[in-house]
Amino acid sequence: MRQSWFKYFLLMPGTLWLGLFVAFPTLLVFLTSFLSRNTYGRLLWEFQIDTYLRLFQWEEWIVILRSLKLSLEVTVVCLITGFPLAYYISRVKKSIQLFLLLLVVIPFLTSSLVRTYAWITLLQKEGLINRLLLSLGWIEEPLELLYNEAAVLLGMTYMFLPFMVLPLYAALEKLDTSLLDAARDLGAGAITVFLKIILPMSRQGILAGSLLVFVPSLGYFFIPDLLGGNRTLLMSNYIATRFSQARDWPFGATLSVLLILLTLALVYLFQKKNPKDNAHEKKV
Amino acid sequence: MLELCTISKAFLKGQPVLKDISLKVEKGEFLAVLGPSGCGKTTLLRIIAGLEYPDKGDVYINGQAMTHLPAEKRPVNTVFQNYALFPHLTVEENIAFGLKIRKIEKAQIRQKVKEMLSLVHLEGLGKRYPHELSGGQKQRVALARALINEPQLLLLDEPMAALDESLRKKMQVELKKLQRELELTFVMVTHDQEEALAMADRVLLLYNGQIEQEGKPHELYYTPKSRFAAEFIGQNNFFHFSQLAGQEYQFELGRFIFTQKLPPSFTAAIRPEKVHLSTTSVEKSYPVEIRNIIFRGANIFFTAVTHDGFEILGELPAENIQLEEGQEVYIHIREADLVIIA
Repeated sequence: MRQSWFKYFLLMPGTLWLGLFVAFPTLLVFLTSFLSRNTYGRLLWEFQIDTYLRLFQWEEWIVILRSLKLSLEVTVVCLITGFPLAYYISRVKKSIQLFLLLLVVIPFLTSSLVRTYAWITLLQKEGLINRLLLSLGWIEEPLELLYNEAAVLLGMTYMFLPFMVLPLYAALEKLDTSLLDAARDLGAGAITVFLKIILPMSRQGILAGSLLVFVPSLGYFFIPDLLGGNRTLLMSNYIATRFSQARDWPFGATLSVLLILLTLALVYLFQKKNPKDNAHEKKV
Repeated sequence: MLELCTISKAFLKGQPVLKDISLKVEKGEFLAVLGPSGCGKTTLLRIIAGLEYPDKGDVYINGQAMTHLPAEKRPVNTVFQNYALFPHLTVEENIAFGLKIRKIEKAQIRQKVKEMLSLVHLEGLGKRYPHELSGGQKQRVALARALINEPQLLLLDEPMAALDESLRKKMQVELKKLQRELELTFVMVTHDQEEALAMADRVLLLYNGQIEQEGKPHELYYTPKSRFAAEFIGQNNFFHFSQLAGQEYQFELGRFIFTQKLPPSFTAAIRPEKVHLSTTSVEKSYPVEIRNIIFRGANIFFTAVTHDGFEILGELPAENIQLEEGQEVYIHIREADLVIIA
């Protein structure tokens, strides 16, 4: 009796925090999405569903699809660049592993906004890269590196790569090297070993990393804003401008609700693909 | 069948693991490589498997040089320590792995997997995952997974280490039977001298990366050539003999007169089961006190202590022996039972 009471007591701070700063604001967003506004953007207590009907218009869908496409690209690029890195880290000596993981995490010590501005100074017309290429004589005109989708992809990949590397590392680190030996002993070449052993054995890490990259990259708005200029409208900065410049809170909230639902659907799919009963991932 | 010529191997900034190892294994032979941990026996196995390359020396299998051929191209399969079963594949898929890679027809694979499952008595368990198997079953899967490829040479790395005592004894018999029946060539690495002696046709004792002794199990047991061999295989008592005059020697228990000519100073070993007791003083017998009697089923072990405190380990059949701790008896040593080492 006393114990179970104590258990709930321990849950209190977390529950309060999540309730106040996650559940309550989410409810507010949900509520706002059904409210109306006057011409100055002020919210009125008149319920409507027009904002939801607007979601069925093609112009809005283009933004949503473009967002999904970019997030998918970010995830794939993170996976392709992160996998070899995570594999390498997992195979070196333990002491070096810790050092390399530290290097992966260190960028988090600086504000992500500052790091995004750093990319601007690198990529802009008079930026470091263009100046270097010009002085080497490799190009005659400065390249348009900034304010396009490629720049957004680059910035996002840079930002989310650690979220991919860490779960991949966690999965690969558990991979028993004797399994790789066994596969080779049974006649498997390097590619077969990768496809039949390493890849399926790191499935958990791939799924977790992909989720951790895909979901936040859907909602990150200042990287597309800063590196993409206003040329690449994505769901995230679309929502941001609905709330700020456009003063259209109900529609911004509606888009937010859509984003939340999309995210929840992904998490649900992930959990289904990744059932609790994965005892075979444990030590054999 | 298998021939190793002066194999040497050292790891980065380390001592040499193997020094000039040469050995031959005949077809159908069961060779055990025995040694304490860190003696290089697993490295030797990995060099034969192709998972490691020697710094020096050559590996021949069926007369063909394979020294630098990678593991996946050798006609050799391995049963790994802890079995290294693929946890994401079922028993059937594990066993079929090698054949699938060789792109064998599906129906044929299914047939062979079935045969293998019955060979290792795992019928009906094909759909299970490795984590749903017991230690003994896992070992059988590892065996079937290797044997399905019909390797010319099967390597076994401590195949019994993960099994409990009673199962180990049973599997030793079974594995040996299988090897005989299928006329396979086995090279097994083990640190368990009992296992090596029980299973192998020939035993190679490895110590510090070198072959300490090589021979049939009973040769290693009864005529160890070095103190290490005598200590590692079975239990032994060691005596140091120094010449007094002619064939009369002084050792830890007293005086001993040999019938043969021997060097002025040497070490000799005697097995516990060769230590005889008598209640009366006879020739070449020495007074001792019995301590620490340990009952081990068929046999009892005891420690006999001299007046100077020198301890001798003895072993006797448990039946019909009335032995008590503190009892004063004589131990009798026969010259023929002493193994002169150096």
